[in-house]
Amino acid sequence: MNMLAAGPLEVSEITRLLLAMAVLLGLARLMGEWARQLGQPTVLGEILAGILLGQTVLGAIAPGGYEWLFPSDPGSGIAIAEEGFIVMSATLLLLVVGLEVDLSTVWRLGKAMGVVSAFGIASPMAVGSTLGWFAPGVLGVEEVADNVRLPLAIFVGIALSITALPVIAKILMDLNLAKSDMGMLVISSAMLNDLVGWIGFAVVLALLPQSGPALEPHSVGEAVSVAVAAVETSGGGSGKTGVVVTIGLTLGFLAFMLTVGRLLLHRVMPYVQSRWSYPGGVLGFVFVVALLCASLTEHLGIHSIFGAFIAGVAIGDSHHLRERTRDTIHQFVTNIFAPIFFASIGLRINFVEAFDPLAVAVVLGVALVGKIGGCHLGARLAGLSQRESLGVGFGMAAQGAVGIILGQLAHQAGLISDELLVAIVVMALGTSLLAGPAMQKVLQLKTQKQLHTLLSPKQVLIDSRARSIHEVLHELSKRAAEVTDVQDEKTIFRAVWSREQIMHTALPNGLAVPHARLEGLKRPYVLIARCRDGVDFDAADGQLSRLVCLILTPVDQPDTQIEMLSLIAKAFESSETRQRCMSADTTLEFLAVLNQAASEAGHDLTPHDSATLGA
Amino acid sequence: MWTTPNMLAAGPLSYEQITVFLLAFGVLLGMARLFGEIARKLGQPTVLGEILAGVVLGATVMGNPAFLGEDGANVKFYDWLFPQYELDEGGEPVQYVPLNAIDYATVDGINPPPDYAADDRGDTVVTEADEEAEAKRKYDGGFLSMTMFLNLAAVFLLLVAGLEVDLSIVWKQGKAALWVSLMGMIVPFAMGFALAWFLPAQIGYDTDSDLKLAFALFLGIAMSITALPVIAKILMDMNMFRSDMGMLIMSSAMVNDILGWVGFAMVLALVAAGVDAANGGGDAAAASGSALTQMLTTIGWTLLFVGGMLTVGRWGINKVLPFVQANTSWPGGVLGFVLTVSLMCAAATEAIGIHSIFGAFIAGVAIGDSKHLRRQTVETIEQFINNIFAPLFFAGIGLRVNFIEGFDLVAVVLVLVIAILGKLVGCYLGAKWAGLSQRESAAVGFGMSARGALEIILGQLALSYGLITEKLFVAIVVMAIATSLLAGPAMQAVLKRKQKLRLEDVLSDKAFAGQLRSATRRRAIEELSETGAAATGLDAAVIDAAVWKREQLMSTGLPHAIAVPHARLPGLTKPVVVVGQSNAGVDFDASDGQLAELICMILTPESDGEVQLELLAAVAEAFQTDDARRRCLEAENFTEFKAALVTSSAAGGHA
Repeated sequence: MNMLAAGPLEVSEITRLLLAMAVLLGLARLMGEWARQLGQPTVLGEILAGILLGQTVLGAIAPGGYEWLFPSDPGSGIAIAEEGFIVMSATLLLLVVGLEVDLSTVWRLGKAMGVVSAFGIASPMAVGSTLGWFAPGVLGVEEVADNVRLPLAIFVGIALSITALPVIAKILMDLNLAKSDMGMLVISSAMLNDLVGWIGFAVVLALLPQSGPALEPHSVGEAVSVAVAAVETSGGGSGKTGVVVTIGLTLGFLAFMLTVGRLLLHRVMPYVQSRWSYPGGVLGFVFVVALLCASLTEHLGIHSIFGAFIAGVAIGDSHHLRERTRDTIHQFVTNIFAPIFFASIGLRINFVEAFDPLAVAVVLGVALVGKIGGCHLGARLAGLSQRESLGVGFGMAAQGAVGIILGQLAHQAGLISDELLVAIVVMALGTSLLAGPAMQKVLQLKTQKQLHTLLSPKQVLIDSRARSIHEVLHELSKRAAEVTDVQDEKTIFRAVWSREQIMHTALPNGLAVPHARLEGLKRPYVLIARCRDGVDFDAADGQLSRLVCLILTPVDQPDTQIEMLSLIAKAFESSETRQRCMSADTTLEFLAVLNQAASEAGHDLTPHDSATLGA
Repeated sequence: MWTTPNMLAAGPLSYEQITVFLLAFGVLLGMARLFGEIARKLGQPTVLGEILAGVVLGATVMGNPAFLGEDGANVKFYDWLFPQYELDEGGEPVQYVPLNAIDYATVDGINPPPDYAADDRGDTVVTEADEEAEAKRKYDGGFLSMTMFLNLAAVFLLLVAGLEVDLSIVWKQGKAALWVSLMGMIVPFAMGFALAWFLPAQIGYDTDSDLKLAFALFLGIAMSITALPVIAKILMDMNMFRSDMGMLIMSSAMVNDILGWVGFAMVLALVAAGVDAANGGGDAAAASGSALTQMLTTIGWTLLFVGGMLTVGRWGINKVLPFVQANTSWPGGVLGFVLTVSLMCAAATEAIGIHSIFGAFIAGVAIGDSKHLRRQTVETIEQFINNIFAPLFFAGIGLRVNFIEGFDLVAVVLVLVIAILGKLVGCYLGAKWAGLSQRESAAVGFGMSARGALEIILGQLALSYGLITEKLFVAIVVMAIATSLLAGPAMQAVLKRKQKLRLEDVLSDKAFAGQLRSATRRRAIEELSETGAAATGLDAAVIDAAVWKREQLMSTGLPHAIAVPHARLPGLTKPVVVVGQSNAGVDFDASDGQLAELICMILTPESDGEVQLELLAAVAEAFQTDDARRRCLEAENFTEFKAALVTSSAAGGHA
C-alpha cells in the first residue's frame, strides 16, 4: 500500500501516529485520574504514564512495540510529527497559564518575586558551578578538556537552577493555587528564573568551541575573553554578539508585549468580539497572537513557550476576554494537549542505561538543596511565613521538561557525558514528581471533600418505594449494614430512628438528612435514598422529601457530622442539580450528575486562601 | 542579519523549523479566520473565506512563479514559510537516507533505493527511479508536523460531523427519511457515475491510469453525499430546524452521510487493492485475482468495523460513559475519553486500508448516540474543532493546489449541473413518494443539495490518493461551495420563508446614541430622533412626530427596564434601530414600574408591516437575561455594545 501515500506520511505511518497519540492520551488521562483519586496532582500520573510507555518500561519489555509506536530515528516522519505536536502542546499549555496570570498581583509581588528568583537562581547555580568546575568526576564526567571546563561549569549551574514553568503551572492549577498570591509568586519567579536560565544557556552555547570539544588549547582564553566581552560589555564585532542581541531583543519583546501590546490587545478585543463570529473569532484571535509570539521567541533563541506565555499574560489581562472563551481554551488544552505533553517528557529516556548512582544522587541532592534552600531563603527575606517559604521552594524545585531539553542540547553539543545527562534527566523528573505532593504536604492543603467522592454506586438507592420515614430508614439501614463496618442493621436503625424522634431532619427543597453517630465506624458514610413518591419529614417549607441522605459518622469525630451536612447542602444547592438527580436512570448517572455539578460549582470558588502575602 | 545557532536542535526539529512551523501555523490560522469573517460579513459561508485564505497564501497566488518568476520574492517567501523539503546549503533538497539503508541490498521484498534499481527495462525504470528519488527527499520537519496537524484536523472534523448524527431521529422518521435519502443517493450516484464513465476526459481523468471504475464510483459517491452541518445551519437560520420538514431533511442527510462514507470507504479499498496488485507485478490474471481478494478483505473488515461500532461499540460506549462521567474529573475525563476513542477508531480504519477520518466519523456516530453525552461536552469539542482545526484544514487545502491552473470551465459546469440536478430530482421524487407536497418536495431537494465541507474533505482525500486530478478537485471545491451558497436562498424562495432577523444586523454605529441626557420620555424620544435622523437621512422632526404620536396611544415600556418606542416611516428603505442608554432611567410607564434604561427606537419602512413585529421580538429576546442587559448598559461605545449583544446572544443560543 506504499504507493497510496501521496503525502509525506505513509498510510502505515498515519496509523501508527494516530495510535501512538491515542495510547499516549488515553494512558496519561487514566493515570492522571488515578493520581487525582489518590489526592495527588494530575500531572504526576501524566508523567508516570510517559515513563510506562517510554524506553524505561515499554522499551525494556517490548522494544519492538515501543520502536513501532514511538520511533527514535530522528529522521522518521512519525518522530517528527510527534515532536511537532508536543511543541504545539507545550506552547498552548503556556498560553493557558499566561491567561491565568493576573498582572496586578505580579506588580504587587514585584519585590518578593525578585528576591525569590534571585536566590532561586544564585544558590543552585553557585553550588552547581562549583561542582562542575572542581569536581566534574563526581558528575560522571571523567575527562574534561580545558576549553570546555568553563562552559561545563556554567552549564551545570544553569541546569540546576532552571525551573519547569509548564510543570509548576500545572501543579499549581491542580492544587487550585494558580490564582492565589503564592501561586502568582511562584509562577512569576519561575518565569523570571527561566528567562535568565535560557539566556545563560545561550551564553554557554556561545562559549562552546564551534568545532566540537577537540580544539586548539589557545581557544580557551579566546572563549573566556569573548564571553566576558559578550556578557559585560554590550557590543563587540565578533560572532558571539548573538547573546547580547538575544538578551536585548528578549527584554524588548517582554517590555513591548506587557505595555503597548497589552494595550493594543485590550483595544482590539471588543472589536473582534463584536465584529467577528462568537466565540470562533476570539478563539482564533487568541491562538494566532500566541503562535506568532511563540514563533518570535523561538527565533530569538529562547524557547517558544515564553512567547506563548507572555501572549497569554497580555491577552488575559484584558477584561474583555470572556470567562467562557477562557474556559473553552482551558478545557481543551489542559485535558487534551497537556496530558500528551507531560507524558512525552518521560518517553524518550531510558533510566536504567547509563545510570550512575553517584552522579544521580549528587545532582538530585544539589538541585533539591540548592533550589529549596535558595527559594526558601528568598521567600523568607520577602516576608513569607516558614511554611509558605518551604512551599515556594518545593514548587520552584520542579525542573521537568525544560531541564531535559537543556540536558539534551548540551549532550548533543558534546558538552556532557551520557551519565550526566541521565543524572540530569532523573533529577528533572524526580523533582517534578516530588514538587506537587511536597507542596501539598508542606502547605497542608486538604483536597476539598465533595459529596460524590464519598459515594459509591452501592450507597445510592435509586428507586426507593418508601412512603414513610420508618420505611425509608429501614431501607437505608439495611443497605448501610452491607457497606459499612457496622454489620448490624438493627443497631443502625435504632440510632437513626431515636435521633429522628427528637426532631425531624428535613431540609428545604425536598432534602432530608437523618443522621447518627455510631460506635465502631472507621470513617463517615453517606447513603442516599431517592424516593420518587416523597416522604414526609415535616419540612419547614412543607415539601415532601425526595432525596433522603443518611449520614453515619464515627463517635469520636464530632465535627465530621457537620461537615457532611454542609457537603450535602452544598451538593444539592441548585435546583437544576436536584432535578437532574431526580431524573437520573441509574446510580452511575446519579453520581455523574453530582460530579459534574461539583466541578461546575468549583469554577466560582475562590482559590485557596492559605497563602495571602503581605503587599 | 543575526541568525540563531542551528546547533540548538535537541529533538528531530531544529529551532529554525520550530520557528517557521509556529509562524506558518499562526499565519495560516489568522488568515483563514480573517477571510472567513469577511466571507461571513458578506453573507457567504465561512468555509469559502477559509479556502480563499489558503489560495492566497498558497500555490495559486503567493507561491505562483507566474507572477515574479521562479526566483521571485513571493515564491521564496512561500517556500520559506511552507517548506516541503529540507534544503541543504546549496538550496537543494536533502536526500533522505534511511538508517537501515545497507540492508536494502540484502533483504528481499523491500524495494531497493534508486541506486540499486538500475536494470535494463528502459525509460520507465529511469522515471520510476527518479520518482522514487523524489519521494526519498527528506521532508521538512515543519512541513511534516503541519501535515500531521491537518490530518488530525480532518479526523476531528469528521468526529464532530459524526457526533451530530442522531440515529434515534432517523428511526423515528422511518419510511419518509428512507425514501428521501435513498432516492437522494441513487439518482445523483447514477448521474455522477455516468458522467465519469462516458465523459472522463472532460473532467480531468487521466486516461492512462487503469482506475476508471474506481474513478466513476468515486464521482458517483461524491455527487450523492450531503453536508449535515451546512444543512443544519440553513434550517436553523430559517427557524425550521425543529419543524417536521427540518427533521426529515436532517435525518435523510444523516442516512445519506453514513451510506456515502461507507461507500467511499469501499472505493478506497478498491483503489488500494488495485494499486497493490499492480505493484506486486506478475501476470495480469494473478494481479486481478489478488486485487479482488484484497478488496474483499478490506470491504469485509470495513463492514465488520462499521457493524461492530454501531452495535456493540455503541452499546459499550453508552455503558462506559456514565462511569467515566461519574468517576473522572469533569469535563476533562469525558473529553479525553471521546478523543481517545475516536483516535483509536481512526487508527483502526487507517490500518484496514480506508482513511482515518472514516473511523473518526463512525466513532462520532457511536458516541453521539449515547444519551449520556452532555450537550455541553459536545459544544466544547465543537467550538475548538470548528474554530481552530477547521480553518486550518480548509486553508491547508488551498495551500498546495493551484486553483488558476486547475480551473476548467467545462469540468466545473458539468460537475455543478450534475450535482444540483441529481440531488434535486432524486430527493424530489423521494419526498413526493413519501407524501410531501410539491413545494415541500422541491424544498427538500434544494436543502439536500448542499454539499459543503465534507465534500471538500472527500475530494482532498481522492486527490491525495491519486484518484482524481487537480482539475476535478477544483471543480468539486467550486461545486461544494456553490451548492452550499445556493441551498439556503433556494429553499427560502421555494417555501417563501424569510430568514430570522437579528437585532445586531440592524444596528449601526451611526444609530447608537450612547448615554442619554434626557430624563423624560418626551425629551428622550427627541434625542433619539436626532440620532435616528443622522442614521436614516430623514428629518428629525418627522421621526420625532411619528414616534411620539405612537407613544401617546399607548406607552412602549417593557418589563426589565427596556423601552421600544417605534414608528413606521414613509421614505425609509430599510429598518433601523436607534439605541440609547440611560443610567438614571427614563419613565416609559412599564407594567413592572421600572424606569427604562435601554431604549431601542425601532424605525421601519411603511410598506413592511411584519418587520416591526419581528424587531420588537428581537429586542425582547436580545435583552432577555440580566447579564445581557447589564453588560449592554455598561458598554461605553458602539463596539462594546455590539460585543456585549453578540456574545450574550451566542451564549443564550447555546442554552
